[in-house]
Amino acid sequence: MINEQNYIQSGTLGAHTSTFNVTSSGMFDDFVSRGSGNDVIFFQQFTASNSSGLNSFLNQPVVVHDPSNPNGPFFGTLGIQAQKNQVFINGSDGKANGSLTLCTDPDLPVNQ
Amino acid sequence: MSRPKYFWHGPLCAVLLTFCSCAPLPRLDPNPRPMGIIERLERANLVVMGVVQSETTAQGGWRPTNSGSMPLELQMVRFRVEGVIKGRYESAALSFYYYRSTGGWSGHAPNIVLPGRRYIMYLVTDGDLLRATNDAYSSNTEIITGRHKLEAVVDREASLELIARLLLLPGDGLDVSQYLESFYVERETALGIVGPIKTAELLRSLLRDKNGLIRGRACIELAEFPIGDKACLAQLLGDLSASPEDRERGRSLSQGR
Repeated sequence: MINEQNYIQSGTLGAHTSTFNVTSSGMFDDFVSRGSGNDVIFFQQFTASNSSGLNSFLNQPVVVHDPSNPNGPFFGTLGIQAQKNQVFINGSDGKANGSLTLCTDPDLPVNQ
Repeated sequence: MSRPKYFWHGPLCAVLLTFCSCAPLPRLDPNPRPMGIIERLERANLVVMGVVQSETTAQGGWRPTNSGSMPLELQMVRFRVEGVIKGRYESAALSFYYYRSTGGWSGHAPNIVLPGRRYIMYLVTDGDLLRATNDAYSSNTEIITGRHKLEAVVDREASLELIARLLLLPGDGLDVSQYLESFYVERETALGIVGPIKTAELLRSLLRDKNGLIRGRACIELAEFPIGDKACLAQLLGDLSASPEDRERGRSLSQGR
């Protein structure tokens, strides 16, 4: 089970502090949107917990990979700035050469 | 030439529709909470597949604007019905309501309804109205596999299997690139509602598809965790009509990576 904690610096955020059950592939979907309100700046952290008793642990922080800052300062934390028409995550708007790029499937090798 | 008797019915209906659209809505209490497909299916009185014709912000009536910290807006959706999965509905169109959040969002999928797109809608009756099973959070399943002719289903398990087929198997008017782009998401959804054995059966049926891109992607999704059926990989590696990316991934999987 994954818990999401959001710390809001400015603006308002619905549907925060969510709990996700992962799929059989260990995946979960988290949606981020500014909506039609004001810009929102917030920070996200995730923790995982396992209530099955097998290899159990409580509130283990989930590593969030930031390719642009692999050694920090945002290691483990997503800084999100949701503006009209674009969302920046850890300073990245997800574009390459002005075009949106899809997230790379983590199971697939990344072409360098 | 005499006018048909129903000549004036058109304008009269237009007046009535205008009047009806301005009439106050009954109180609809928001129900903003995330709900998975299985719970939506169980709670719904009516589950239909079809295409969204329009979405408008409902005017008039009692409309709370907040539920906790979540600003809400009541939406009315006009929907063209292509088939019924649960319940009875005879007409070719319906309208229903749901509350959407207008503010910032981070969490489970929000409710997004786009005109022209095809969805499964999970609906309940509220007085004389139809509304979504839940508000703000997703209360539909988008179907990107095109149009399908639905067969009658009799129980919950058959309904879930039908939804899995609609998610994974191509129908009429399929957009192949959109289909392949989100295929792994549809597979995840199918796994969550019918499990790995039935999902694998559906994926295996795609290995006979006439489109090599679809055959190749189906093979990869069969071979990947958690299904892990790699029997198709040898054929994929020699299938030049599959995408180079899928053949490359197939090579890695066949080498145990």
